[in-house]
Amino acid sequence: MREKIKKQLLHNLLLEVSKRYEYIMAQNARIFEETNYKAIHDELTGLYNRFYFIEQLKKSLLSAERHKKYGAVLFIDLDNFKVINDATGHKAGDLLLKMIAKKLKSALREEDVLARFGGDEFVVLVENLGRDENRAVEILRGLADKLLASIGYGHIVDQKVYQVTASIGIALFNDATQDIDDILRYADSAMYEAKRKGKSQTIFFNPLIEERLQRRFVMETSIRQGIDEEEFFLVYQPQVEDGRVVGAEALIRWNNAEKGIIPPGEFIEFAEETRMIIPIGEWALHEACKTLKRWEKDPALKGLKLSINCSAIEFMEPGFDQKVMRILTHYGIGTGRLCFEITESLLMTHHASLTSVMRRLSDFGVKIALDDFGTGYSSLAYLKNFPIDILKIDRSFIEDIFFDRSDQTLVRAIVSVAEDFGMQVVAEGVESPEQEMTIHTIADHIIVQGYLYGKPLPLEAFEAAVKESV
Amino acid sequence: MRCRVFHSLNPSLLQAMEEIHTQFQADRQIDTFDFILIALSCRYPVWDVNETVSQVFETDRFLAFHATDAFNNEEVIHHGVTALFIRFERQGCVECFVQEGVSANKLDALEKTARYLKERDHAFHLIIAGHCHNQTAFFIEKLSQYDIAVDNLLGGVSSGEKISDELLTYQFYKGEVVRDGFVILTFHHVKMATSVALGFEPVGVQYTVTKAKGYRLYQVDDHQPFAYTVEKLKRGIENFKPEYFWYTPIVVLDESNEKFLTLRTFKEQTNDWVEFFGPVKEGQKIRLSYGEKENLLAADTKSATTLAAQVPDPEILFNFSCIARQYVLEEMQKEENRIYRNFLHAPLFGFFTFGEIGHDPSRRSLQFYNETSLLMGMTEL
Repeated sequence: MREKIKKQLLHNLLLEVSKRYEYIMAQNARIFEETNYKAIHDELTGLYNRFYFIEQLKKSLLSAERHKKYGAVLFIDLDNFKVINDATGHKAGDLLLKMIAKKLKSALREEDVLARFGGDEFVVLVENLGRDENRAVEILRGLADKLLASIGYGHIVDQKVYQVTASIGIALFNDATQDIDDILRYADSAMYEAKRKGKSQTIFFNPLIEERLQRRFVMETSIRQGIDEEEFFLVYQPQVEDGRVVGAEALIRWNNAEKGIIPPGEFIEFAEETRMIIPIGEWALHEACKTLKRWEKDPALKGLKLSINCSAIEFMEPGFDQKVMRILTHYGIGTGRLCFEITESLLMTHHASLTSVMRRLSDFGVKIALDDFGTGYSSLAYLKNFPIDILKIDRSFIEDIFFDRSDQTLVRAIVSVAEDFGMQVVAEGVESPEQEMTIHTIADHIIVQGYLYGKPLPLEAFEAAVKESV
Repeated sequence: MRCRVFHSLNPSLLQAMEEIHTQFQADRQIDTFDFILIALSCRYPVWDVNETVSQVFETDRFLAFHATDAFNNEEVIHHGVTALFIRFERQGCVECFVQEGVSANKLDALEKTARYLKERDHAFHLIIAGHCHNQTAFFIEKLSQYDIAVDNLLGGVSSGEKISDELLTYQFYKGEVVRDGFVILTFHHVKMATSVALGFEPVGVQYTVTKAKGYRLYQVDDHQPFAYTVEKLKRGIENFKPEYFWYTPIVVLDESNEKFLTLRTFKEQTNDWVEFFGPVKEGQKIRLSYGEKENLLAADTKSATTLAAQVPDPEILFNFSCIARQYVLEEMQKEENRIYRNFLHAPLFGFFTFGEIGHDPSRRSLQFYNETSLLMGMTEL
């Protein structure tokens, strides 16, 4: 009897154990599948991830070489995603990324590999583009247009419609000896070039882009060293009203240890691209404040005002207004002594948040001058919507003002509008007595600036010149 | 130390004691005693035990306790009286510690017991415990946390029957009937060694306990009550009895998931839970196991040889073997003690327990065991 029970019990036990094995095996298989899926997929969008993409690119390079056919990597970066993400929050941003991933997928062929490398960066691998490079480029251009169009439609997230654009960089390959990192870098560089050229477009990689990027890299390193080595300095150009120096515009110069003096036109653009303009601008602000403090102690210079140029990048950096107020407070700079010169491009791009930053600075006693006025859109609405204190008429209107009646008319109109808005006017680029005479015929109380009154000079030379003129 | 074991199956307590007394008087190897350890069936009248023993042996130097099946050398004495007479010949001596109210006043009991053991950490302690409403195992495990020596304490839980809703697993000492506690018998100036025999083979992969409370196991990591698994083990077996599961205790693994911590014997099962004769804890890894008498006896042999290496000439052997083990050994239940005595030529006393109390050398803690045989050999110094 016992033997029968034991036999049955052992039988049941083994049966149960085998079921447990099956359960564990099934569970392990599921975990294995999940792990495998996670290993090659992007968690948010379900697209492939960088790891899988690179593996496929390796295979694709070999295949391209074997069949002598072109393939390509397309780097897609959303142009304004950060703004949308900041404005709507990460949840809506994530939802938008999912929708875009879906749209991109639907615009591609089944065999194309679409991956998300992170953030708003998508990458496509396209194979079998044929043996003719021109034909491959043609196909890719068509594909890129299709992708841009698919992204370009309005996306509805949380009952709001978001308009998204993207920049695409494309790198072709047909050779297994090409380095994967290089191909990805080429596509990435081309994508940056597309952004630099105004966004929402496609750029194919070419060696010039790489060269430019190399230069950019070298420049970025040099700027960084320049800040550390204190190679930057300010020069001061006088601003004159009724024959008397009333202030100066501080202009930045760079005395590079290897290349000597580098003009601002050669490094400001790079500094803005790399955002190195932010530490440069902060340094310039400190220097300007020190100068104003120095002038305060000298009766001959005491009342002078100082303008410095401020990039849109600096202005839009979160906390910029607080930083300025902190620095001015630190040096004890009084109201109306310091002026930021900004360009129209800043007003065009960042309307909403900019107004409050400008108002806070204005309330703190910082003057705002609109530089190069008349050359851009010169929307009169800016004058209404922003707390602008000074209009600086672009030098192109001053150059021929003695001969050209239309320049005279334009300057007269600008001065009239400015006076009505209670703004001061500065005429830049005054180089001859004829220009000066014409300007004063148009307006009595106008501030003039240009070589006629003095070139930009180092601080001590500027101070000496001011004292001499007195 | 001189030790002799006698027994009686006389259903009258008085007559059983008198029979043992007669055997003692007739024995040529021992003529006096310092202490008597008595295992007796719970069917004898509880309230007469102290008085009867005192009257027959004219002493209060005894400890009696309930045991349904006790050991007189190789013999298993079922529902009778089995008595071990001890006479010290050199420096040896014995003292007793009684603790009542374990389930009612656990903290106080723990502190008192720990203090007693700490003050005697060079002695050897034999613990005979009651069932204490399923609290004995927790008490024993908690006691380890009081920084006491753990390798000098060994024993078992008295075995008995349920009468009027009370499980009779009592101890009797100096006129007291200990109903919710234990008695520790402390031997001074002795040398001793212990070893553990298991013999159950784990079968299949492990489960992780996800829900358990006390002695009850509710759920494991396949997200269904463990009772379902147990229920399936009953298939095809007519007139199922819980004892059938004693062939298949669960193995509790230690933290490394490699070593056996202990076995747990099935006691009862409902649709929601399975109750064991010892605690199961959440997070523990368990495996099913299966035991055959041959494997159990092989484990006994190994245990005996291990002990023989440590105490080659013991003067007394104690065996605390689980009642589930008795069930699995069936008609070979005497073999366990026969094996022990073949390797270790000494009188043997002990009983089939409701749980064994020993220590886990790797964890340096006291351990409440199921389905094991704890063997101890002792000589007087």
